[in-house]
Amino acid sequence: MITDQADEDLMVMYQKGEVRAFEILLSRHRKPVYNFILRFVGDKETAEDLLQEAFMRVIKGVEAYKRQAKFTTWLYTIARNLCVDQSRRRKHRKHASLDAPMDSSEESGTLLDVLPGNEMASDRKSVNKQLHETMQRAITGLSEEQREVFLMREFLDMPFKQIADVVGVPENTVKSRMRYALEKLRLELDEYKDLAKAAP
Amino acid sequence: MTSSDDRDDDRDAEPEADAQLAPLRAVWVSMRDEEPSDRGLAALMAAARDKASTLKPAESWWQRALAVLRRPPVLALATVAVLLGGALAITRHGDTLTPPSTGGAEGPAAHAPAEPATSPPPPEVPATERARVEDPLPAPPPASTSTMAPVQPPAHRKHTGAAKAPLRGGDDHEVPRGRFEPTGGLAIATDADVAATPIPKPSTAKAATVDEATAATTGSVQDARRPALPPAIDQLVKQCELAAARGDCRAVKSLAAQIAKADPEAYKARIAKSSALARCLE
Repeated sequence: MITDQADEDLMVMYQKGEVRAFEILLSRHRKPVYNFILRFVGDKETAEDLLQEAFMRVIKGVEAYKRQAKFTTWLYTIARNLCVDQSRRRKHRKHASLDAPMDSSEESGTLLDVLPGNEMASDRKSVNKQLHETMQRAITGLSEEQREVFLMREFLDMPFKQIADVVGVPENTVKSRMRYALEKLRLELDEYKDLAKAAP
Repeated sequence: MTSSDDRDDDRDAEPEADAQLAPLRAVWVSMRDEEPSDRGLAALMAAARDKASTLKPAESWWQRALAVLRRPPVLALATVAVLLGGALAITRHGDTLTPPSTGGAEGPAAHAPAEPATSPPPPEVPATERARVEDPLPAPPPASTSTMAPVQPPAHRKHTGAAKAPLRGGDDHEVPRGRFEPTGGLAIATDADVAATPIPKPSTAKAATVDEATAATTGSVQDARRPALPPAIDQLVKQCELAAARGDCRAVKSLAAQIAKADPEAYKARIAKSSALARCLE
């Protein structure tokens, strides 16, 4: 069955002109790649654009793919590079950040304060929602280098070696970034620790 | 994404895998993945298909031809062609089995004044067959030594270089030996050839009587009457009819003159009263 084939075999099949192989790859990886991008950039529309661009690059670069390379490493390298480029463009345009002050006065709060994150959760669903939003804010608050490592490690379950291949740094550097990312998250979410324990 | 062993090894190596992070990790693990919208999916697949078409190895000419031949319209066309061809072949074969209506005009009975008048005009000869000349057979032995021209048994007939081309209706027409111009396996008898043909003397009335009796008893008129006329005269008559059919009046006149000279009786019975030949002889 073609659906049982490994990603790498499917890529080889697509290199021979088998469109069905690409369809299967797309159905397998579209959702995880989208969520990786979404958590990286924090914007659905941008994430959808980048998702499409990532797979477009897969299509365009299919001839360059070598069977020895792990497909997910290749795919997430593309996705990560797109996210980094997007993040740089955003910085360049000086878009308003979620945690940037809304105006220059010191009394004004941040954009996050307007969001319904500080409301007391009345039920379990609200608690979860609040926790997730807080977690997302905390992830967005990480530096790009820490964020990408954290996302690949915790959400995609990648081994450090593969993350190092995707990011293009030594494995120890990846571990170091992961350590800092977790430390920062722990500090950020310390006040929600009890809430997290209460959550199902 | 990875094997559980790799992941566990990594976890053990993490120094911060402490109990403090466990509740928080449970939170982000429980964060639900969102489903991407289908926006741009069609464009993506279209691009994938375009790319795949360029990636496919080029088919060789015979693979393309095979693919074309496998299409239903081509198969249907081939079936129709085979059926038509078969029907045509059967029809032609049926023609050879049917005795021609004018075939019996060779014998002495043809000398009777009634038969040529009732016989239909010679069949229309296709343009491709007009140039054909029948199987050139060995010239018959001189008829002067016998009162009846000997019948050449088919087994004794020999091809003399030119292709055998049976006339429509299945009769083998004998052409006197002469000069032939080969044209792709066929030979065309020219007027000079016809003129140079030695014409044996006609058979006598005695032979005709015998043949008529034979035909009456056996019903095989064509075979029975064949020895009645000397082959050369018979052949000349047929050539004359063929020439008339293709509208070559010059050849008709030439041949008719030869027949009249060689066998006036045959001329009267076969040529003068033939409506088909009359057009050219007028």
